[in-house]
Amino acid sequence: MDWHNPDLMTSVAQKPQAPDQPPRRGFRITSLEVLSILLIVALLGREWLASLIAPDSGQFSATVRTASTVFVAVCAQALPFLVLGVLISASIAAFVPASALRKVLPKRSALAVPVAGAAGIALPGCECASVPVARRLMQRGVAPAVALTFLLAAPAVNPVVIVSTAVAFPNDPEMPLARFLGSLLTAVGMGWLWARFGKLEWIAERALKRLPEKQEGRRWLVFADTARGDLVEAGGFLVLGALVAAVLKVVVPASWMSALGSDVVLGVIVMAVLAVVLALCSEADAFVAAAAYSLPLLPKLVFLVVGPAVDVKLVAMQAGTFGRSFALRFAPLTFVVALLSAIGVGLLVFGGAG
Amino acid sequence: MRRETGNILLLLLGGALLKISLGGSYLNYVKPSQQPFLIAAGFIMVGLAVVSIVRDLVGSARPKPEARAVRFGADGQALPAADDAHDHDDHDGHEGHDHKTHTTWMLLLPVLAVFLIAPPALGADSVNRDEGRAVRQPAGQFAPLPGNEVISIKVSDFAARGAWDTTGTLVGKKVKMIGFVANRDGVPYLARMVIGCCAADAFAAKVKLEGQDLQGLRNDSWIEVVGQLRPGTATEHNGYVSTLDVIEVRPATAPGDPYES
Repeated sequence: MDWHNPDLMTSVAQKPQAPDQPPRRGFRITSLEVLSILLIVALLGREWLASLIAPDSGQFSATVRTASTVFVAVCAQALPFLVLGVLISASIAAFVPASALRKVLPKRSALAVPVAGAAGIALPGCECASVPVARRLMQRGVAPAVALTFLLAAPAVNPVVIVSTAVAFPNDPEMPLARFLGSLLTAVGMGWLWARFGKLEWIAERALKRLPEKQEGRRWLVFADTARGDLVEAGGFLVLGALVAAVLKVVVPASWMSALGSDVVLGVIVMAVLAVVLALCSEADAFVAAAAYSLPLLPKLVFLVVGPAVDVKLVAMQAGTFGRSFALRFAPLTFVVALLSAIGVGLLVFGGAG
Repeated sequence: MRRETGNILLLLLGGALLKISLGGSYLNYVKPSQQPFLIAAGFIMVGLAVVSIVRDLVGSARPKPEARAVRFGADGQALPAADDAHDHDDHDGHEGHDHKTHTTWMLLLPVLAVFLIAPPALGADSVNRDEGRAVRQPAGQFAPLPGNEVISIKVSDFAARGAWDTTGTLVGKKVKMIGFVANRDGVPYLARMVIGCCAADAFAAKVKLEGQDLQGLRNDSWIEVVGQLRPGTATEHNGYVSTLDVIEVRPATAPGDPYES
């Protein structure tokens, strides 16, 4: 070893100072090193991964191939909407002061809930967009019941969804109306229920932490940083939801739909469960429902009202954003409320099972 | 998870979206009209990651060590570049202190899927899973089809007319269709997947093939068939799938957009 190497001497001489410095993260195994190792392993295992989905190698490969396509498809479909959502959410954080929201919304939650439901008409996105926005509203001092109403209404009652429903059901013009009413009733009903019975401590503290009112001049930095943070965080849960949806897609046999025949009660139950596990985009689910040819309209309406309110992707994102103890209460209750709303509205609008 | 790792994951994910949207393979997953949104989302992700990385680099390149110490110590009073991250869970120096940050690792999955596996478009496997859903009955009448030559027609259009057309627009016409092969119980079908938004909501439009020269058609191989509808073959019992009497069949190249809409 060359003891006259000046660089080496310096580094030896500096060593005793180390405890005074902030902890040197470079010497620990951190997520950065883990990421590098994962990427290297993935690159080395590339051929093995590719062989998993190779054609002509049996039913298992075919199943993995289908699931992987659906997984990437759900991600590619939903991520642009999530980006839209975090941009809106970050704009609220950076540019909309809490006082402005207080002026717009009625003071009493019972009145603000329907206003939030109607506001959902203005956000043409899927459910992935509304989760970060709802959280930001809460952090801006909007009552949780009101923000949650918006969360449920936005993906289901916007014009894009209603128009695509009308296109999918050309012979049943009452279907878009029934869907609109059913979803709005679900959102407003959940808002009122939460305003009456909801407890603040069910929602994770991090989702409620008030944002400081930022000083002038640095708003774009706040915007970029908030958007980045939301995207990384909510994106992870979105991908988790997409993975679950892709697995369920190949595990749950689609023959469930054909086995239903015209049994309304069984149809309602199975379509409600399918809405949760398939996690379809609210702009496309009408086409899937319309294709279940043997079913009456009521089970299809249940599918369309339940899907945008509760599905595996959405529950994953809610658990990540608002905490598990929130999601464990909110998701099942929403399922029941959406089911009842759809049945009630369906019986009223179709005058029966349809 | 460290903030830097999150940035790199975001960069990779944005890159994956740009790869599929600019490289054309997005057509295997979503409908063509999604392309601009995918490109925009990809650029925004890359942009946000780059802004964050640059700010971290500028922040850590500050000369005074005491400024660095302040940055980790006092909450909110620190360097302007650092305090914005405090309502997120990945702020500096507290790796692993929050239980939910592990889920951020999931962002790596679509990246690996896109760059390493590049899943193909849905094929025969999806067709054979897709029992119990029939081709949709459109509103109004079917438009009449032109003349006596061979008519090029979408598989989904053929399937819809075969199932629901009461005016006989297909009767006696020779049609040409491009699709892929999906064998079921030894019987070949010509199929296309139809999507509304993305491959998750796809359903199969298919036509049963009958005729000579149909042996050895392999699943997922693309073919062009010329033939005639056998009227009255689509019934509720067979899920409204029509039979095509095949006159000619030859291999075809896969179309750019594998789905019909």
